[in-house]
Amino acid sequence: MKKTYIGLGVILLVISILLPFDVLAAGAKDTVEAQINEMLTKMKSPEFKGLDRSAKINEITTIINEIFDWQELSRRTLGREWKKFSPDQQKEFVSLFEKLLQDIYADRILAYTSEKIEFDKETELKKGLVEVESYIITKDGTKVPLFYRLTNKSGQWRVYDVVIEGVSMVKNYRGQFREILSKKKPEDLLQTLREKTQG
Amino acid sequence: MKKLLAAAVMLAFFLIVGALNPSFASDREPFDAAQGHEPGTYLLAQQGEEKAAEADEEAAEDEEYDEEYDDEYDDEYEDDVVQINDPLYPLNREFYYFNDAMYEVIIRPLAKGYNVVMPEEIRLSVKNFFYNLRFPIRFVNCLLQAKGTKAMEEFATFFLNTTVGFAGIQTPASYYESLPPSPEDLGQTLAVWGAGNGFFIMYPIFGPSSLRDSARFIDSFFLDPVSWLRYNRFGGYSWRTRVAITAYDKFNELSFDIDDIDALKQAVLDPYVAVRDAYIESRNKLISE
Repeated sequence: MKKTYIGLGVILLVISILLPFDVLAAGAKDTVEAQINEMLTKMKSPEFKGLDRSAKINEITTIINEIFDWQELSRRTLGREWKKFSPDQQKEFVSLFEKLLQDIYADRILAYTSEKIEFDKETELKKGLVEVESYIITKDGTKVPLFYRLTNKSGQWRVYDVVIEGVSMVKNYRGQFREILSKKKPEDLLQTLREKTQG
Repeated sequence: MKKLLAAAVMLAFFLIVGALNPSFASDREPFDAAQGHEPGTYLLAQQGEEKAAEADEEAAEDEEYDEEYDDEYDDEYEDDVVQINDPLYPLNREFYYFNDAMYEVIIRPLAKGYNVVMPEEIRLSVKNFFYNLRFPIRFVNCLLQAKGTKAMEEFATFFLNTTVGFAGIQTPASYYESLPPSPEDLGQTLAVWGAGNGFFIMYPIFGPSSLRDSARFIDSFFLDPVSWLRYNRFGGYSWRTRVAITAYDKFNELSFDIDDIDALKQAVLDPYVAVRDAYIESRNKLISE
Protein backbone atom coordinates (compact mmCIF):
# COMPACT_ATOMS: atom_id res chain seq x y z
CA MET A 1 0.00 0.00 0.00
CA LYS A 2 2.76 2.36 1.04
CA LYS A 3 4.66 1.47 -2.09
CA THR A 4 1.73 2.54 -4.26
CA TYR A 5 1.71 5.98 -2.63
CA ILE A 6 5.42 6.40 -3.15
CA GLY A 7 5.00 5.25 -6.73
CA LEU A 8 2.21 7.76 -7.31
CA GLY A 9 4.34 10.48 -5.72
CA VAL A 10 7.24 9.70 -8.03
CA ILE A 11 4.97 9.73 -11.08
CA LEU A 12 3.50 13.08 -10.09
CA LEU A 13 6.97 14.49 -9.54
CA VAL A 14 8.12 13.31 -12.95
CA ILE A 15 5.03 14.74 -14.64
CA SER A 16 5.42 18.11 -12.97
CA ILE A 17 9.04 18.29 -14.10
CA LEU A 18 8.19 17.26 -17.64
CA LEU A 19 5.31 19.73 -17.93
CA PRO A 20 6.32 22.70 -20.04
CA PHE A 21 6.74 25.85 -18.03
CA ASP A 22 4.09 27.75 -20.02
CA VAL A 23 1.29 25.53 -18.80
CA LEU A 24 2.02 26.37 -15.20
CA ALA A 25 2.64 30.08 -15.67
CA ALA A 26 -0.38 32.38 -16.13
CA GLY A 27 -1.35 33.18 -19.70
CA ALA A 28 -0.94 36.58 -21.31
CA LYS A 29 -4.61 37.48 -21.16
CA ASP A 30 -5.04 36.39 -17.56
CA THR A 31 -2.00 38.40 -16.53
CA VAL A 32 -2.91 41.69 -18.18
CA GLU A 33 -6.63 41.37 -17.39
CA ALA A 34 -5.89 40.78 -13.71
CA GLN A 35 -3.51 43.74 -13.61
CA ILE A 36 -5.89 46.14 -15.35
CA ASN A 37 -8.82 45.02 -13.18
CA GLU A 38 -6.69 45.42 -10.07
CA MET A 39 -5.87 48.95 -11.16
CA LEU A 40 -9.52 49.79 -11.86
CA THR A 41 -10.67 48.37 -8.53
CA LYS A 42 -7.99 50.35 -6.75
CA MET A 43 -9.06 53.54 -8.52
CA LYS A 44 -12.66 53.04 -7.37
CA SER A 45 -11.66 52.70 -3.70
CA PRO A 46 -12.44 55.63 -1.41
CA GLU A 47 -8.82 55.86 -0.18
CA PHE A 48 -7.64 56.38 -3.73
CA LYS A 49 -10.28 59.00 -4.46
CA GLY A 50 -9.12 60.93 -1.41
CA LEU A 51 -5.58 61.31 -2.76
CA ASP A 52 -4.38 64.42 -4.61
CA ARG A 53 -3.52 64.20 -8.28
CA SER A 54 0.22 63.65 -8.03
CA ALA A 55 -0.25 60.89 -5.44
CA LYS A 56 -2.84 59.27 -7.72
CA ILE A 57 -0.42 59.38 -10.61
CA ASN A 58 2.29 57.82 -8.40
CA GLU A 59 -0.02 54.96 -7.46
CA ILE A 60 -1.00 54.32 -11.05
CA THR A 61 2.59 54.54 -12.28
CA THR A 62 3.60 51.76 -9.87
CA ILE A 63 1.00 49.46 -11.43
CA ILE A 64 1.83 50.56 -14.98
CA ASN A 65 5.47 49.60 -14.43
CA GLU A 66 4.34 46.08 -13.55
CA ILE A 67 2.32 45.88 -16.76
CA PHE A 68 4.81 47.29 -19.28
CA ASP A 69 8.19 45.99 -20.39
CA TRP A 70 9.85 49.37 -20.99
CA GLN A 71 13.15 47.96 -22.17
CA GLU A 72 11.48 45.84 -24.83
CA LEU A 73 9.08 48.60 -25.80
CA SER A 74 11.86 51.17 -26.25
CA ARG A 75 14.06 48.72 -28.09
CA ARG A 76 11.27 47.91 -30.53
CA THR A 77 10.31 51.51 -31.02
CA LEU A 78 13.80 52.53 -32.08
CA GLY A 79 14.13 49.41 -34.22
CA ARG A 80 17.25 49.63 -36.35
CA GLU A 81 18.04 53.11 -35.01
CA TRP A 82 18.82 51.48 -31.64
CA LYS A 83 22.42 50.80 -32.51
CA LYS A 84 23.03 54.40 -33.50
CA PHE A 85 22.77 55.13 -29.79
CA SER A 86 25.69 54.55 -27.43
CA PRO A 87 24.96 52.29 -24.43
CA ASP A 88 24.61 55.35 -22.20
CA GLN A 89 22.28 57.01 -24.67
CA GLN A 90 20.26 53.81 -24.91
CA LYS A 91 19.87 53.74 -21.16
CA GLU A 92 18.80 57.36 -21.04
CA PHE A 93 16.43 56.84 -23.95
CA VAL A 94 14.65 53.98 -22.18
CA SER A 95 14.20 56.00 -18.99
CA LEU A 96 13.03 59.16 -20.79
CA PHE A 97 10.64 57.32 -23.11
CA GLU A 98 9.34 55.36 -20.11
CA LYS A 99 8.66 58.62 -18.27
CA LEU A 100 6.89 60.16 -21.26
CA LEU A 101 4.57 57.19 -21.71
CA GLN A 102 3.95 56.70 -17.99
CA ASP A 103 2.72 60.28 -17.75
CA ILE A 104 0.40 60.08 -20.73
CA TYR A 105 -0.94 56.66 -19.77
CA ALA A 106 -1.61 57.68 -16.16
CA ASP A 107 -3.26 60.91 -17.31
CA ARG A 108 -5.57 59.10 -19.74
CA ILE A 109 -6.41 56.33 -17.25
CA LEU A 110 -7.50 58.99 -14.77
CA ALA A 111 -9.65 60.64 -17.46
CA TYR A 112 -11.37 57.38 -18.38
CA THR A 113 -12.37 56.17 -14.92
CA SER A 114 -16.10 56.09 -15.67
CA GLU A 115 -15.73 53.92 -18.75
CA LYS A 116 -15.98 50.14 -18.64
CA ILE A 117 -13.30 47.81 -19.98
CA GLU A 118 -14.11 44.41 -21.47
CA PHE A 119 -11.51 41.78 -22.26
CA ASP A 120 -11.91 39.54 -25.28
CA LYS A 121 -9.81 36.82 -26.90
CA GLU A 122 -6.05 36.45 -27.13
CA THR A 123 -4.16 35.54 -30.30
CA GLU A 124 -0.61 34.32 -30.65
CA LEU A 125 1.18 36.57 -33.16
CA LYS A 126 4.37 34.57 -33.03
CA LYS A 127 6.10 32.36 -30.53
CA GLY A 128 6.32 34.33 -27.29
CA LEU A 129 4.23 37.24 -28.66
CA VAL A 130 0.54 37.46 -27.86
CA GLU A 131 -2.13 40.04 -28.65
CA VAL A 132 -4.91 40.47 -26.09
CA GLU A 133 -8.06 42.25 -27.22
CA SER A 134 -9.87 44.62 -24.91
CA TYR A 135 -12.60 47.18 -25.51
CA ILE A 136 -13.35 50.43 -23.76
CA ILE A 137 -17.11 50.89 -23.56
CA THR A 138 -17.78 54.63 -23.60
CA LYS A 139 -20.82 56.36 -22.12
CA ASP A 140 -22.74 56.36 -25.40
CA GLY A 141 -22.18 52.62 -25.83
CA THR A 142 -19.47 52.69 -28.50
CA LYS A 143 -16.67 50.16 -28.25
CA VAL A 144 -13.15 51.47 -28.65
CA PRO A 145 -10.76 48.61 -29.45
CA LEU A 146 -7.62 48.66 -27.30
CA PHE A 147 -5.30 45.74 -27.96
CA TYR A 148 -2.30 44.88 -25.80
CA ARG A 149 0.69 43.08 -27.26
CA LEU A 150 2.67 41.08 -24.76
CA THR A 151 5.95 39.21 -24.62
CA ASN A 152 7.22 36.81 -21.98
CA LYS A 153 10.86 37.60 -22.65
CA SER A 154 11.37 38.95 -19.14
CA GLY A 155 10.01 35.74 -17.56
CA GLN A 156 6.46 37.02 -17.17
CA TRP A 157 3.95 38.40 -19.62
CA ARG A 158 4.49 42.10 -20.12
CA VAL A 159 3.10 44.64 -22.57
CA TYR A 160 5.42 45.92 -25.30
CA ASP A 161 2.84 47.66 -27.51
CA VAL A 162 -0.67 49.09 -27.31
CA VAL A 163 -2.85 49.21 -30.43
CA ILE A 164 -5.74 51.67 -30.31
CA GLU A 165 -8.28 51.46 -33.14
CA GLY A 166 -5.70 49.80 -35.33
CA VAL A 167 -2.97 52.34 -34.56
CA SER A 168 0.11 50.76 -33.00
CA MET A 169 1.79 53.06 -30.50
CA VAL A 170 5.23 51.57 -31.06
CA LYS A 171 4.89 51.82 -34.84
CA ASN A 172 3.64 55.40 -34.65
CA TYR A 173 6.58 56.50 -32.49
CA ARG A 174 8.96 54.56 -34.69
CA GLY A 175 7.84 56.63 -37.67
CA GLN A 176 8.37 59.83 -35.72
CA PHE A 177 11.79 58.81 -34.40
CA ARG A 178 12.93 57.74 -37.83
CA GLU A 179 11.83 61.06 -39.28
CA ILE A 180 13.73 62.97 -36.59
CA LEU A 181 16.84 60.79 -36.81
CA SER A 182 16.95 61.15 -40.58
CA LYS A 183 17.90 64.80 -40.02
CA LYS A 184 19.26 64.95 -36.49
CA LYS A 185 21.57 63.09 -34.13
CA PRO A 186 20.48 60.75 -31.29
CA GLU A 187 21.59 63.44 -28.83
CA ASP A 188 19.09 65.92 -30.32
CA LEU A 189 16.31 63.35 -29.96
CA LEU A 190 17.27 62.80 -26.32
CA GLN A 191 17.26 66.57 -25.77
CA THR A 192 13.71 66.82 -27.19
CA LEU A 193 12.62 63.97 -24.91
CA ARG A 194 14.24 65.66 -21.90
CA GLU A 195 12.31 68.85 -22.60
CA LYS A 196 9.07 66.90 -23.09
CA THR A 197 9.34 65.01 -19.82
CA GLN A 198 10.19 67.99 -17.64
CA GLY A 199 7.31 69.61 -15.80
CA MET B 1 -28.81 63.48 -64.58
CA LYS B 2 -25.84 65.77 -65.14
CA LYS B 3 -24.83 65.32 -61.50
CA LEU B 4 -24.92 61.55 -61.81
CA LEU B 5 -22.71 61.79 -64.86
CA ALA B 6 -20.27 64.03 -63.00
CA ALA B 7 -20.11 61.54 -60.15
CA ALA B 8 -19.52 58.67 -62.55
CA VAL B 9 -16.71 60.59 -64.25
CA MET B 10 -15.02 61.36 -60.92
CA LEU B 11 -15.31 57.76 -59.80
CA ALA B 12 -13.84 56.61 -63.09
CA PHE B 13 -11.00 59.09 -62.65
CA PHE B 14 -10.07 57.77 -59.22
CA LEU B 15 -10.27 54.18 -60.38
CA ILE B 16 -8.14 54.80 -63.46
CA VAL B 17 -5.53 56.71 -61.48
CA GLY B 18 -5.54 53.91 -58.95
CA ALA B 19 -5.18 51.24 -61.59
CA LEU B 20 -2.42 53.00 -63.54
CA ASN B 21 -0.11 53.80 -60.68
CA PRO B 22 1.32 50.59 -59.29
CA SER B 23 2.48 52.32 -56.10
CA PHE B 24 -1.17 52.85 -55.24
CA ALA B 25 -1.82 49.22 -54.80
CA SER B 26 1.47 48.52 -53.10
CA ASP B 27 1.36 51.05 -50.30
CA ARG B 28 0.49 48.34 -47.82
CA GLU B 29 2.96 45.81 -49.06
CA PRO B 30 6.19 45.19 -47.20
CA PHE B 31 9.39 46.91 -48.22
CA ASP B 32 11.13 45.33 -51.18
CA ALA B 33 14.83 45.24 -50.44
CA ALA B 34 15.66 45.12 -54.15
CA GLN B 35 14.47 48.69 -54.57
CA GLY B 36 17.44 49.95 -52.62
CA HIS B 37 15.44 52.35 -50.50
CA GLU B 38 12.12 51.95 -48.80
CA PRO B 39 9.04 54.12 -49.28
CA GLY B 40 9.57 55.63 -45.85
CA THR B 41 12.72 57.32 -47.12
CA TYR B 42 11.02 58.16 -50.40
CA LEU B 43 11.49 61.90 -50.00
CA LEU B 44 15.07 61.64 -48.93
CA ALA B 45 15.98 59.56 -51.91
CA GLN B 46 14.14 61.91 -54.22
CA GLN B 47 16.15 64.89 -53.18
CA GLY B 48 19.23 64.07 -55.18
CA GLU B 49 21.69 61.61 -56.59
CA GLU B 50 24.06 61.71 -53.64
CA LYS B 51 21.20 60.62 -51.45
CA ALA B 52 21.00 57.38 -53.41
CA ALA B 53 24.44 56.44 -52.17
CA GLU B 54 23.29 57.17 -48.65
CA ALA B 55 20.30 54.93 -49.16
CA ASP B 56 22.59 52.09 -50.27
CA GLU B 57 24.63 52.60 -47.18
CA GLU B 58 21.48 52.44 -45.13
CA ALA B 59 20.46 49.22 -46.85
CA ALA B 60 23.87 47.76 -46.01
CA GLU B 61 23.36 48.83 -42.42
CA ASP B 62 20.01 47.10 -42.48
CA GLU B 63 21.62 43.84 -43.44
CA GLU B 64 24.16 44.17 -40.71
CA TYR B 65 21.37 44.95 -38.31
CA ASP B 66 19.40 41.93 -39.42
CA GLU B 67 22.34 39.63 -38.80
CA GLU B 68 23.02 41.07 -35.42
CA TYR B 69 19.50 41.01 -34.08
CA ASP B 70 17.86 38.31 -36.12
CA ASP B 71 17.47 35.87 -33.29
CA GLU B 72 16.72 38.24 -30.48
CA TYR B 73 14.24 40.52 -32.22
CA ASP B 74 12.98 38.35 -34.99
CA ASP B 75 9.50 39.75 -35.43
CA GLU B 76 7.38 41.00 -38.28
CA TYR B 77 6.44 44.11 -36.29
CA GLU B 78 10.00 44.83 -35.39
CA ASP B 79 11.13 47.28 -37.97
CA ASP B 80 8.26 48.38 -40.17
CA VAL B 81 6.87 51.88 -40.29
CA VAL B 82 3.59 53.04 -41.80
CA GLN B 83 3.94 52.96 -45.57
CA ILE B 84 2.53 55.97 -47.37
CA ASN B 85 3.69 58.15 -50.24
CA ASP B 86 3.94 61.77 -49.25
CA PRO B 87 5.07 63.78 -52.28
CA LEU B 88 3.27 66.89 -51.00
CA TYR B 89 5.23 66.66 -47.76
CA PRO B 90 6.33 70.34 -47.43
CA LEU B 91 2.86 71.65 -48.32
CA ASN B 92 1.12 69.09 -46.12
CA ARG B 93 3.30 70.07 -43.19
CA GLU B 94 2.45 73.74 -43.68
CA PHE B 95 -1.25 72.90 -43.78
CA TYR B 96 -0.87 70.83 -40.62
CA TYR B 97 0.62 73.83 -38.81
CA PHE B 98 -2.14 76.04 -40.21
CA ASN B 99 -4.83 73.65 -38.96
CA ASP B 100 -3.12 73.34 -35.62
CA ALA B 101 -2.97 77.13 -35.21
CA MET B 102 -6.67 77.37 -36.10
CA TYR B 103 -7.38 74.71 -33.54
CA GLU B 104 -5.34 76.32 -30.78
CA VAL B 105 -6.47 79.90 -31.37
CA ILE B 106 -10.13 79.52 -32.34
CA ILE B 107 -11.60 76.04 -32.00
CA ARG B 108 -10.11 74.87 -28.72
CA PRO B 109 -11.10 77.97 -26.67
CA LEU B 110 -14.57 77.91 -28.24
CA ALA B 111 -14.98 74.21 -27.48
CA LYS B 112 -13.81 74.71 -23.88
CA GLY B 113 -16.52 77.32 -23.41
CA TYR B 114 -19.09 75.25 -25.25
CA ASN B 115 -18.37 72.25 -23.00
CA VAL B 116 -19.01 74.39 -19.93
CA VAL B 117 -22.26 75.87 -21.22
CA MET B 118 -23.71 72.85 -22.98
CA PRO B 119 -24.55 69.76 -20.89
CA GLU B 120 -22.91 66.57 -22.09
CA GLU B 121 -26.30 64.89 -22.67
CA ILE B 122 -27.25 67.53 -25.22
CA ARG B 123 -23.88 67.36 -26.97
CA LEU B 124 -24.23 63.60 -27.15
CA SER B 125 -27.75 63.90 -28.58
CA VAL B 126 -26.50 66.29 -31.27
CA LYS B 127 -23.68 63.90 -32.13
CA ASN B 128 -26.07 60.94 -32.29
CA PHE B 129 -28.57 62.90 -34.38
CA PHE B 130 -26.05 63.76 -37.08
CA TYR B 131 -24.53 60.29 -37.05
CA ASN B 132 -27.97 58.80 -37.60
CA LEU B 133 -28.79 61.38 -40.27
CA ARG B 134 -25.77 60.34 -42.36
CA PHE B 135 -27.18 56.82 -42.69
CA PRO B 136 -27.40 57.07 -46.54
CA ILE B 137 -23.59 57.32 -46.80
CA ARG B 138 -23.06 54.15 -44.79
CA PHE B 139 -25.94 52.27 -46.38
CA VAL B 140 -25.05 53.03 -50.00
CA ASN B 141 -21.38 52.23 -49.44
CA CYS B 142 -22.26 48.92 -47.77
CA LEU B 143 -24.23 48.10 -50.92
CA LEU B 144 -21.42 49.27 -53.22
CA GLN B 145 -19.07 46.90 -51.37
CA ALA B 146 -21.66 44.10 -51.64
CA LYS B 147 -21.81 43.82 -47.86
CA GLY B 148 -25.44 42.71 -47.70
CA THR B 149 -25.56 41.78 -44.02
CA LYS B 150 -23.87 44.99 -42.96
CA ALA B 151 -26.33 47.01 -45.10
CA MET B 152 -29.24 45.29 -43.40
CA GLU B 153 -27.73 45.91 -39.97
CA GLU B 154 -27.25 49.56 -40.86
CA PHE B 155 -30.85 49.79 -41.98
CA ALA B 156 -32.11 48.13 -38.79
CA THR B 157 -29.96 50.48 -36.69
CA PHE B 158 -31.25 53.51 -38.59
CA PHE B 159 -34.85 52.35 -38.28
CA LEU B 160 -34.57 51.65 -34.56
CA ASN B 161 -32.69 54.83 -33.69
CA THR B 162 -34.94 57.04 -35.82
CA THR B 163 -38.19 55.69 -34.35
CA VAL B 164 -37.54 54.49 -30.80
CA GLY B 165 -34.52 56.77 -30.48
CA PHE B 166 -36.41 60.00 -31.29
CA ALA B 167 -34.92 60.92 -34.69
CA GLY B 168 -31.60 59.44 -33.69
CA ILE B 169 -30.80 61.42 -30.56
CA GLN B 170 -30.87 58.19 -28.56
CA THR B 171 -29.12 55.00 -29.65
CA PRO B 172 -31.32 52.05 -28.64
CA ALA B 173 -29.62 49.97 -31.35
CA SER B 174 -26.35 50.05 -29.38
CA TYR B 175 -27.91 47.65 -26.86
CA TYR B 176 -27.86 44.95 -29.51
CA GLU B 177 -24.49 43.26 -29.93
CA SER B 178 -25.68 42.08 -33.34
CA LEU B 179 -25.97 45.69 -34.59
CA PRO B 180 -22.42 47.03 -34.56
CA PRO B 181 -21.85 50.41 -36.22
CA SER B 182 -20.24 50.13 -39.65
CA PRO B 183 -18.68 53.45 -40.60
CA GLU B 184 -18.44 52.82 -44.35
CA ASP B 185 -17.63 55.56 -46.88
CA LEU B 186 -16.61 55.93 -50.52
CA GLY B 187 -12.90 55.91 -49.66
CA GLN B 188 -13.33 52.45 -48.19
CA THR B 189 -15.46 51.35 -51.11
CA LEU B 190 -12.73 52.34 -53.57
CA ALA B 191 -10.20 50.48 -51.41
CA VAL B 192 -12.34 47.35 -51.51
CA TRP B 193 -12.51 47.75 -55.28
CA GLY B 194 -8.72 47.70 -55.36
CA ALA B 195 -7.58 51.34 -55.23
CA GLY B 196 -4.60 52.17 -53.00
CA ASN B 197 -4.22 55.33 -50.97
CA GLY B 198 -2.30 57.10 -53.72
CA PHE B 199 -0.62 59.67 -51.52
CA PHE B 200 -1.30 61.48 -48.32
CA ILE B 201 -3.08 64.85 -48.38
CA MET B 202 -3.44 67.20 -45.44
CA TYR B 203 -6.33 69.47 -46.34
CA PRO B 204 -6.59 72.86 -44.72
CA ILE B 205 -9.60 72.80 -42.36
CA PHE B 206 -10.75 69.30 -43.45
CA GLY B 207 -7.62 67.60 -42.10
CA PRO B 208 -5.89 64.35 -43.04
CA SER B 209 -6.92 62.37 -46.10
CA SER B 210 -5.45 60.62 -49.12
CA LEU B 211 -6.02 60.88 -52.83
CA ARG B 212 -8.39 57.93 -52.66
CA ASP B 213 -10.13 59.07 -49.48
CA SER B 214 -10.81 62.44 -51.11
CA ALA B 215 -13.71 60.59 -52.70
CA ARG B 216 -15.46 61.15 -49.38
CA PHE B 217 -16.23 64.65 -50.62
CA ILE B 218 -18.45 62.95 -53.18
CA ASP B 219 -20.21 61.15 -50.32
CA SER B 220 -20.95 64.33 -48.48
CA PHE B 221 -22.02 66.09 -51.70
CA PHE B 222 -24.59 63.52 -52.78
CA LEU B 223 -25.45 61.26 -49.87
CA ASP B 224 -25.30 63.56 -46.86
CA PRO B 225 -28.86 64.74 -46.12
CA VAL B 226 -27.43 68.04 -44.84
CA SER B 227 -26.20 68.75 -48.35
CA TRP B 228 -29.71 68.24 -49.73
CA LEU B 229 -30.58 71.52 -48.05
CA ARG B 230 -29.34 73.34 -51.12
CA TYR B 231 -32.66 72.47 -52.74
CA ASN B 232 -34.77 74.08 -50.06
CA ARG B 233 -37.92 75.81 -51.29
CA PHE B 234 -37.43 79.00 -49.31
CA GLY B 235 -34.16 80.46 -50.50
CA GLY B 236 -33.15 78.24 -53.37
CA TYR B 237 -29.46 77.44 -53.16
CA SER B 238 -28.48 77.92 -49.54
CA TRP B 239 -24.89 76.70 -49.20
CA ARG B 240 -24.34 78.97 -46.21
CA THR B 241 -26.89 77.06 -44.15
CA ARG B 242 -25.32 73.82 -45.20
CA VAL B 243 -21.79 74.92 -44.28
CA ALA B 244 -22.99 76.30 -40.96
CA ILE B 245 -24.78 73.06 -40.03
CA THR B 246 -21.87 70.87 -41.09
CA ALA B 247 -19.40 73.07 -39.20
CA TYR B 248 -21.53 72.92 -36.07
CA ASP B 249 -21.79 69.14 -36.33
CA LYS B 250 -18.00 68.75 -36.66
CA PHE B 251 -17.39 71.24 -33.86
CA ASN B 252 -19.80 69.41 -31.57
CA GLU B 253 -18.11 66.12 -32.37
CA LEU B 254 -14.71 67.62 -31.63
CA SER B 255 -15.90 68.97 -28.28
CA PHE B 256 -15.68 65.41 -26.88
CA ASP B 257 -12.06 65.00 -27.91
CA ILE B 258 -10.42 68.19 -26.63
CA ASP B 259 -8.72 66.52 -23.64
CA ASP B 260 -7.56 63.56 -25.72
CA ILE B 261 -6.12 65.87 -28.35
CA ASP B 262 -4.30 67.92 -25.70
CA ALA B 263 -2.82 64.79 -24.14
CA LEU B 264 -1.75 63.32 -27.47
CA LYS B 265 -0.13 66.55 -28.60
CA GLN B 266 1.80 66.53 -25.35
CA ALA B 267 2.94 62.97 -25.94
CA VAL B 268 4.16 63.06 -29.54
CA LEU B 269 7.44 64.42 -30.86
CA ASP B 270 6.55 65.07 -34.47
CA PRO B 271 2.80 65.71 -34.55
CA TYR B 272 2.61 65.84 -38.34
CA VAL B 273 4.16 62.40 -38.80
CA ALA B 274 2.13 61.04 -35.88
CA VAL B 275 -1.16 62.28 -37.36
CA ARG B 276 -0.32 61.13 -40.88
CA ASP B 277 0.70 57.61 -39.85
CA ALA B 278 -2.18 57.23 -37.41
CA TYR B 279 -4.66 58.32 -40.10
CA ILE B 280 -3.35 55.77 -42.59
CA GLU B 281 -3.23 52.95 -40.04
CA SER B 282 -6.72 53.52 -38.70
CA ARG B 283 -8.09 53.73 -42.25
CA ASN B 284 -6.36 50.46 -43.11
CA LYS B 285 -8.11 48.86 -40.15
CA LEU B 286 -11.51 50.23 -41.17
CA ILE B 287 -11.01 48.98 -44.71
CA SER B 288 -10.09 45.50 -43.50
CA GLU B 289 -13.37 45.24 -41.57
